[in-house]
Amino acid sequence: MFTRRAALMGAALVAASPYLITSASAEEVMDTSGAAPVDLSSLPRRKVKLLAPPFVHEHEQVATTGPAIIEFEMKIIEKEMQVDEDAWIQAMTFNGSVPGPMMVVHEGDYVELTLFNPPENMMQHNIDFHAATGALGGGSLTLVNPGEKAVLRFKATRPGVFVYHCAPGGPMIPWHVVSGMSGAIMVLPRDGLKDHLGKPVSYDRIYHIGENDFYLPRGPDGDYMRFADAGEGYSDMLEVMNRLIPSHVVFNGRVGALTGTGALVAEQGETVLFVHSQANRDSRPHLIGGHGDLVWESGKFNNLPERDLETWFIRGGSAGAALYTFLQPGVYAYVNHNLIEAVNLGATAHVIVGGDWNNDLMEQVVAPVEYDVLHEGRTALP
Amino acid sequence: MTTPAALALLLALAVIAGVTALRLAPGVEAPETVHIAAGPQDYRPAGEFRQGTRMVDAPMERVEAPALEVMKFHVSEAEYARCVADRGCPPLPVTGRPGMPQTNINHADATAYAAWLSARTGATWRLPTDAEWLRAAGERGFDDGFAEDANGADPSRRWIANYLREVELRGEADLALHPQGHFGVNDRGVADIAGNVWEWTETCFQNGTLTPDGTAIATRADYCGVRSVQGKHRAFVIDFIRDARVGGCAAGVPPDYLGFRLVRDAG
Repeated sequence: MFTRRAALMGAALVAASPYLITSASAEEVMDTSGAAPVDLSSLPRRKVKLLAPPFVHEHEQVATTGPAIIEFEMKIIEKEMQVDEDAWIQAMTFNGSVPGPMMVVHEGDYVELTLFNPPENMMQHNIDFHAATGALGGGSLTLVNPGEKAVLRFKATRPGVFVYHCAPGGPMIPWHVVSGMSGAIMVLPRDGLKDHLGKPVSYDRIYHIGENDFYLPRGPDGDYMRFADAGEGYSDMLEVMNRLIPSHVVFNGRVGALTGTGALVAEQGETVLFVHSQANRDSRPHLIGGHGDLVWESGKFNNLPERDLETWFIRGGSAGAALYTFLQPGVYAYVNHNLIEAVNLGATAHVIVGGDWNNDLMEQVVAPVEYDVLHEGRTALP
Repeated sequence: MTTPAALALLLALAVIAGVTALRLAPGVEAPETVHIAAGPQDYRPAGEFRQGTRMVDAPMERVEAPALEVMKFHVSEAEYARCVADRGCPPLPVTGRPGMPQTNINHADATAYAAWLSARTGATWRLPTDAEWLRAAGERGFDDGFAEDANGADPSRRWIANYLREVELRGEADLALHPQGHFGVNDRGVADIAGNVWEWTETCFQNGTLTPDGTAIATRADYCGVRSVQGKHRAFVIDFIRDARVGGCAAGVPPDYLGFRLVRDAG
């Protein structure tokens, strides 16, 4: 069946072909059937159903059993998604959400992912796990056409939070990523997280803040363009992408996704682990009115966490983790502290924290009031 | 010499003259208004009020409000365009679709339009006060007082209550801009009020303190760089902002669109 979608995609692939040729050697699809077999039949298997972010499936923080094979399934869904009131994207998604769902396993576990590319999709996809070793992070073993599935197993050897993303070759790689195809996996140490002194720490809640930069083109009328499918929008988006200035920088796929009715919640005294992933571009999370008590800025748990951070840096193509115990009730804003991106481009989440106000930590001593200009305020300046 | 042809020519000239006269006439047709009869109004002043250092609700005041003539619809793009063409108002982004309210309006744009419309119609048009807007809003208006808990000693309760109320009032808002009439008329006959276009008022933000018993305002001071903007909830917006969806505070729910409607003073 030769559909209009297929025709459009053909055009996109032709446009991309010089890159595909120059980089073909690294992107060759491979298989592992000739290598020495490994017998994992003695390992227990566990199936885990994934949740859409910012939520994370139930998991043990400290493993109570030995290594296991953890089975996940993800379906790739190409669909139009709303990014802002006036902006839509022909998104490519892992499991229907932007970002894709977060997986949690323990060091030494085996991640076994079945990746489905349903026949109604238009494009080839795959998955590159930054947590995995070899074969372009699994990308070379998982390239699936519409109607195909693949199963990848890798051993989680390095504890930390890691990005995964689609990387189907050449200019398709950045395009798929900035169209929504990224997510995160957390590999916990078997004995859980530790503070800077090596003492165990745990969290009451965990949120996955996936940050995306979108590059949506505007038409001649100044409005964001809307396309019938991803292929139709490719060349216009590419032009915006190559200028490196995003039209939107958002958490959880759209402006305001984690504010209002989508705001995160916590209680005073609770400890929250914020996992922040950004597959393409640098970010600098900041919790307005709060801190990062313990921050694995580069996201890898074999390194000691930093303490008491105001802002932490997430390198494009990585995930980081920040642990914070809320001390004061109120509404917190969790932002990318490039404030232009936070306020004007969308990278803001809210956390509503219930509890009792602590005047020892902060008190309004004098509420805003007019002062006597003649007699007050003269001692302030040097 | 009077021939049918000459008559036709004269007639044609007269028609052209008439059309020209119409085009050059200073008069602009006054927009449709809704009459709201004089009557009592329970009103909480707009701003932040404190009792000691506690932030509390402004006291409810009962006032005898005079009759009000308020525009039935928001000022439309087409209406605003006439002011722009007349060099009375700055040009602003438009959708170009028929019947759309003019949005991307800041306070100065709205008052410029009011001055232009007043000059062109010979009547006095101005922005409504916050209290007048609430009267025009009828059953769609709201009392922004809080429950007791949010007036207590713990400032976080009021903060969270305010956030949650704004989220609830805004609801699962339809965030597309719609033509005039989309949100229907309220019980006063005013169209689209408290839809998704917030409206500028002339009321300045005020900081005030209450008497020790909390029943009356002891002191108040206006800060007119910030105005009350009314819609599903009351927002305070800096007067030069045209799009409050961005540029709001870090942890609040901003208005969706900024537009306006005017009131006509009697006399």
